[in-house]
Amino acid sequence: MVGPGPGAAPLENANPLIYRRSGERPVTAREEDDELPDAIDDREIFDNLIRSINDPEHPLTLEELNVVEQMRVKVDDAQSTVSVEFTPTIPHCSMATLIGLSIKVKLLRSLPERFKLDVHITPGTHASEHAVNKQLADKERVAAALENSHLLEVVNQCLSARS
Amino acid sequence: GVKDGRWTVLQLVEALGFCLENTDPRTRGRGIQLLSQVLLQCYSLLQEKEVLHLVLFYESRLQDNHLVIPSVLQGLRALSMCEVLSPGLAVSVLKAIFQEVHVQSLLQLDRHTVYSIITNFMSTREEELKGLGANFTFGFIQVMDGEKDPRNLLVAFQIVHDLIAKDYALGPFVEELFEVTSCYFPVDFTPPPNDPHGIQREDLILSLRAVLASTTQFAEFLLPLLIEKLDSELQSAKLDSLQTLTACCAIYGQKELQEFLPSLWSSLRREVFQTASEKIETECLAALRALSACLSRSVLSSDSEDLLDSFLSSILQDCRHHLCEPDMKLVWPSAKLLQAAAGASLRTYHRISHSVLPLLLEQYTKHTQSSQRRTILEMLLGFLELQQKWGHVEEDESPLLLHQAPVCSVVFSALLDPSVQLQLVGIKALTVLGSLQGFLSSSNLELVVDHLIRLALHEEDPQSSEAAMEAAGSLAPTYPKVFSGRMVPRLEEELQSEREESCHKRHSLQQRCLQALAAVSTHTSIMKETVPILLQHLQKVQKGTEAKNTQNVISVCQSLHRVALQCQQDAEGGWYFHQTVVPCLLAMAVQAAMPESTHTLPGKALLEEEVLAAMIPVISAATTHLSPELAAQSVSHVVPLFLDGDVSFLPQNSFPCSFQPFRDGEHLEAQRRLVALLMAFVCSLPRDVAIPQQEWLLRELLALSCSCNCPFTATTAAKCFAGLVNKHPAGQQLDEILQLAVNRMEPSLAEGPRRMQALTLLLWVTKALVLRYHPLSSCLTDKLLGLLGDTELGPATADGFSLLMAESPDVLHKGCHADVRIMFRQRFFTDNVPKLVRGFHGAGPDVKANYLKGLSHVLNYLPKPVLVTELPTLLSLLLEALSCSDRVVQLSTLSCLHPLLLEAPQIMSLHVDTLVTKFLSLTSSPTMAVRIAALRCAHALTSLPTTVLLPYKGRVIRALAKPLDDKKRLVRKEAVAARGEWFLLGSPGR
Repeated sequence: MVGPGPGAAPLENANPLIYRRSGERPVTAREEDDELPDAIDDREIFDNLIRSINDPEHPLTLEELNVVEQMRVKVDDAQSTVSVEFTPTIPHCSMATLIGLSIKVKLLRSLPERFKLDVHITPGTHASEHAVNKQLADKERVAAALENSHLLEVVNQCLSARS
Repeated sequence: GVKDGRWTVLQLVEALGFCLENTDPRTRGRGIQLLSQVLLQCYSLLQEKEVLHLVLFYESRLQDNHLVIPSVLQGLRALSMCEVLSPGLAVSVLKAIFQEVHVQSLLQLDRHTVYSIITNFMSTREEELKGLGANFTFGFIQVMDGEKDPRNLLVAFQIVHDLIAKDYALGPFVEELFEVTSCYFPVDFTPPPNDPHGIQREDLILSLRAVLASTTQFAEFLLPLLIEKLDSELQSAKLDSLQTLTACCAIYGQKELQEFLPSLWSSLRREVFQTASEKIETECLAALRALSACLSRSVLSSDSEDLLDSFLSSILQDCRHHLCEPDMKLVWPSAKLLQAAAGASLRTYHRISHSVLPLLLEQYTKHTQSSQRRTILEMLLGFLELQQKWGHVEEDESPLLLHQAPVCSVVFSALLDPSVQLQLVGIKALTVLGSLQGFLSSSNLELVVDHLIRLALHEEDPQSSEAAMEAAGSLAPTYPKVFSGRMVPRLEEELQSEREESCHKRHSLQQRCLQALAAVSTHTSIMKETVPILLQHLQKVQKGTEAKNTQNVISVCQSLHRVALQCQQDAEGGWYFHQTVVPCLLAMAVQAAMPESTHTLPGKALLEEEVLAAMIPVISAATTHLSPELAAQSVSHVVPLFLDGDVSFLPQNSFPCSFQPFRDGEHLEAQRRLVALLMAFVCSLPRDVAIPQQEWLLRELLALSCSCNCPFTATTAAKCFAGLVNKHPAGQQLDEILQLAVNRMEPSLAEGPRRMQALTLLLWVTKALVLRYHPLSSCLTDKLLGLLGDTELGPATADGFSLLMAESPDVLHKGCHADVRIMFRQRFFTDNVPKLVRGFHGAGPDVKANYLKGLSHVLNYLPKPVLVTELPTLLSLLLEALSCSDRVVQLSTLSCLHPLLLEAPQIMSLHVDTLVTKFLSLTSSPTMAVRIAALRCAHALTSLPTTVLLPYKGRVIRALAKPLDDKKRLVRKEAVAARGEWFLLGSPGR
């Protein structure tokens, strides 16, 4: 269960701005055609991978908190690169690293290996932007973080399907 | 002996005397046991005197050795059921038990006996027991104190409930009685696996709740307990507390609640503001509604303060300001809390909407973004719907009426907004406002209609346009004059107008007009205007030569179908529709089917299969709800039309030559196709309507279905035949016609150019008989099973099994009065699946797939619960079917296995190795649908026990990397979901 009960520390931002979820992508006739290939695009990464990630402290998704937006997801299928920018709800948000880590792990698990990943904070939206970006870009530190079973637990909770 | 009166109990006691007085407690125990057994069998025959002595004897035995007690209690239980028990004895038995027996040290069964004795006395000796006063209550408290067995608890809770409900004296023991029951709250009990007693957690919860919520005397103890549990971390405790609170509100009043209202409100508010669980939110809102309702119900004494008022004030104070922040998280929780409180009573509604409505109206003007306005309007809509619940607006100075003008202008502005989402909410609000009697003035009403016309015809977004049509349909019955006077003429004009420049635009506008005409026909007076417009338009387009002609005709038919569905329930409207539309459609079709039609090619649009298929539901829907008399009247016209070519009842019935659909001849091909319309009519009639010349008709249909070269006509004739046979009363006539059919089919099935037609007929007739459990059905099914082994017809037969099991859209379904037994699919499954399995094992390699395909069709249509229970026998075959190369078999097998993985994980676990291997290999099938289904199954595998799956985790994750790069997006989506779930397996935080 996310969200503190009585006695737990109060939420950093108890009444955040929330945004409407975008609808499901309509399935086109082309997508149903067995023969034609569909390239991996921004919307697909956003829909299937990013938007349903849960926030570590609110019972809301990153999309509803506007931490991630489709326009901040860039994919180049031919060059095999993905870049995701995320925007913490407040500039001092202590969860920023954790959110970034969740996004990174989700991409690692869900994209073909050929892709090169880049996850970072939207420039100018967080106090310790560079430190967080550096941590997220460092493969070894990401791997080490996932060895920590407490961290892994929180990340997995963010990635679990909402019941 | 005692039973049939040859012995008296006295004699028995004397005979047992040695035993009963024996010094060895074991022997004594056996003696008493025997006596008790006898008494249990014949307590109804005892005399008052005998009972008295037995009671005294048993009471004295209560002090005896503990080995003897169980039998003694049994005896007392027998005696407690005696009607002749003299007054006073019940009390003395209970006193003795309370005094001598330490109930909770007995075994479960013996404790149960004590509860039964008490229950028996309570139901027959209520007055006597009440004489004991509070001592009885106290005695019982001691008896049940510490009870642990769920079976006994259910009885004990019932006793407490009766104590309270039947008004026994509780005296000073209220708190003790509360303690002894409330210690079980919240119920935490999981029935052991294979529990033979079938007591569920829910049973205990409900019976405990019935006790706790049965009296206001418990309130001072219960409410703090509920608040405490509501503040706990446990979801189930929260839920139980909320539901119990709601139950209590049914009997509590101001007095009980007063002290606790502030803490109750703050707990409820916290839960709604913070919870992630929809269930808890729903229960919180229900509890708040119940609390408010409870407070509104209480009668005020003149000097006391109105608690409702202060309670609502605190709600308003805590929630109102959040409504001004339409982007923030708490806006909806606040709105829902306010709406819950407002939904409790008319008083709460007035108080809350008085404060909230002006605020929302003001906020709407203050915020200009469409998304914010949408949120505000949605909240407003919630309050409007509550007004609907409280009925008329005109009677009192309702807050809504005070704000009539701004509410209307807000809603109208939403309708003009470019945002479709906002428009949709606006349309909903409009519908609600329209349903409030007397709210809309006539000028506003005209404005409403104009808005709806504009949205329905000219709004680009199909969602808005459709919503506007729905709204028109739901408001039309309330204001038929306005809609028929203002909307219908506009639609007619637009439909006929030729002025649109581009052809494409005109086409889509016409489509919209047709849909809107149908949608607004929800009142008989309107329908009588729209139907002629639609028919006239049909007449016009079917003669046209445009490329889109067929589509245009179909659109008109769809609109007519919708009107037919809307007016079926209304006898007058239904008959008008039938009388007007059916002859008109038949006349147009007959005209088009005339061999020497004056206009050569055009007009044939009406004969295309798609068009005929679109006319079938119109005729069918116009027929199913006719009263038997009217149906009989109509059938006496239609059947002669087809059999004798009697066209006299058709409008414009001067045709160049005769109509003889059942006659042989090349040039009659077109006429024969119209059997589809005959089918639509005759197969939709109520079962008790006699069909003239039915036997002749059946023979003609049979002949046509076997001899016709056109597959459409042959199939339609077979369906029509089957539809009639299904409703034909059992008896010699039916047997004869069926025999005739079998005789016709058999030679054609065996060889010749019309094997397919014969198979189609066989399938439809089999279906007709399977549905009604006709004895011949098994014989016909066996023929089909045999054909699965046929190299030519096998695949078609296998597909035919789906036809047998599926709901057919035009004939042989419940809606057209067919004889359909509810369990026919299960029955078909039980009768035929073993045969299919045997056939599969015995079949040659080239036809094996046919059996699998047939089987998968049967399984696909079986209700999932049945499928799960039948699984063990079939699983091995299904696993084999996964290796079959036919993709239909693969797909249907995967779709069978999917629910099984979710619902029967234990059985599936045994085959995990095969399942993993097969699913993974199917993820690289060339067919996209198979890859998707295989990935879904791989995803569903994660619901098996984790320990079973862990050995495969690495392998599955590696294998699922490949579909992540599938060329199809829909496949990748499933792969992402499945792989993500496998990563979580056995990992912390799942």
